[in-house]
Amino acid sequence: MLALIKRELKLFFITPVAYIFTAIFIMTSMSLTFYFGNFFSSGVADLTTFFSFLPWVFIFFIPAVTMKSWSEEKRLGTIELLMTLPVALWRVVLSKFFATWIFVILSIILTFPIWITVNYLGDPDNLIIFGQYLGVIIMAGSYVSLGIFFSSLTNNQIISFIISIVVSFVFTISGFPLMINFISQVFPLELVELISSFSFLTHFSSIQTGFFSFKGLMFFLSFMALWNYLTLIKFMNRE
Amino acid sequence: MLKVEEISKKFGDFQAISNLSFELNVGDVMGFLGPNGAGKTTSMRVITGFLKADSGRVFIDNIDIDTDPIYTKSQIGYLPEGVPLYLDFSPALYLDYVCEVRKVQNAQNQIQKVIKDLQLEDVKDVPIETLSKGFKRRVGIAQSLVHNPKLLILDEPTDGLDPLQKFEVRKLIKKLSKTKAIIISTHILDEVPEVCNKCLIIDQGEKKFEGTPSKLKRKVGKSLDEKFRKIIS
Repeated sequence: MLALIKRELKLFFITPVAYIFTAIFIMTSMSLTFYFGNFFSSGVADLTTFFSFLPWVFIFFIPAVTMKSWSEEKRLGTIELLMTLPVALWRVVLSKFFATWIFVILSIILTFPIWITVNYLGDPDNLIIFGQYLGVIIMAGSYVSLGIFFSSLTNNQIISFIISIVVSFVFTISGFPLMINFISQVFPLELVELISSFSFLTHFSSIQTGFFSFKGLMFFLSFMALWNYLTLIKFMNRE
Repeated sequence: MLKVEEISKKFGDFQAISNLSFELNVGDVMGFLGPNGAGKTTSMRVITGFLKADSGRVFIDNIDIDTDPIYTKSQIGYLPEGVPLYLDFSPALYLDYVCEVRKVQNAQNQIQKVIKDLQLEDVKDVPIETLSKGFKRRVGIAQSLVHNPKLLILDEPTDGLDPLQKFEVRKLIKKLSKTKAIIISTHILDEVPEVCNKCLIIDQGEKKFEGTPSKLKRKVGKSLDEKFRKIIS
């Protein structure tokens, strides 16, 4: 599986696309924090504002990274080579997931200048920031697993990109007060609670404090397992 | 080496393969012939494990491909239709990756050997994307050979090659046939008596002829093209 992960990572970095994506991700997340998050004027030495913008950036950034994952293999026909290698299917599926997740983690790590900035300007609790980074990394894995599944459904990268954005958006905002108010007018309370319990924001809000809730951690890990399993099922049933 | 037992495959209402059976041993080079849409590619995809047959079984080294897909896939070298390749990779990088995944012993020696056999020395570090159709096909053949498989399945291996390259590839196939069982899907009928000692013609998923190229020629006494047209018409 390591060889497959290495191959996937090489495919990312062999062209300038990955570098451009990473640069855009860093610039967008920083810009949102500095210009819309009132980073300097808040007078608080922490990165809560920065982390609160990341789920919204992920909605666009991660589908852009995952869109070619399976779609490109299907379009080029290389899926035939991949599936005829003497490697278990689950390893092939997981290798794509882990490689993409590693790439996203590297992009997240490269936002470290903001951590240096906040340490230069004040005296933040670095343990909490470390916890927040871990939380964001785990949440990013959920977006990746979802995006990769939708990439497996089509050989068209644009379709994969758009569907992933829409579904990521739904999972992100399903716990948002505006959304809850809206759906509570249509659905019974039990269903509204169920829908909001699937919201990334609901579970992320606990992680955002820097302290992991077991429930939040389990939610994101189960979410990743579910979407990877769906991808596996998709290829097990290939015609 | 390879035993295909009554395999059938349907796509919706379309019967792609119908009860196809044949056997292949080391030393056999089988020309797999048929018109477009006859079921050649589907048959090869079933044998390689890319597609599951609706019924029937495929054995490699007497092992059912569904029982031990990892082992059986490790014994196959496959050049798919259209030669799909990772275009951003160079041939050397790509072969290195194939060796790593297939856990090839003495990988660098094997890579050097196939690069030499397929005359890829001058382009081994160039992105595959920039290579000509002929070179891409040679890279495709190289990846199918690099792990020294017992069963080689080549879908139109000489398509797009110039006459000299075709001659070299045919020479290579002949050389390889001593230690391998080989299936070649081809539209170039002249290629069949030149490199194959067996011949199988299918049409609409059904076997129409199985035998040696000379038997095929004897049966009608005409050219292979005429015989082929007569069998599938």
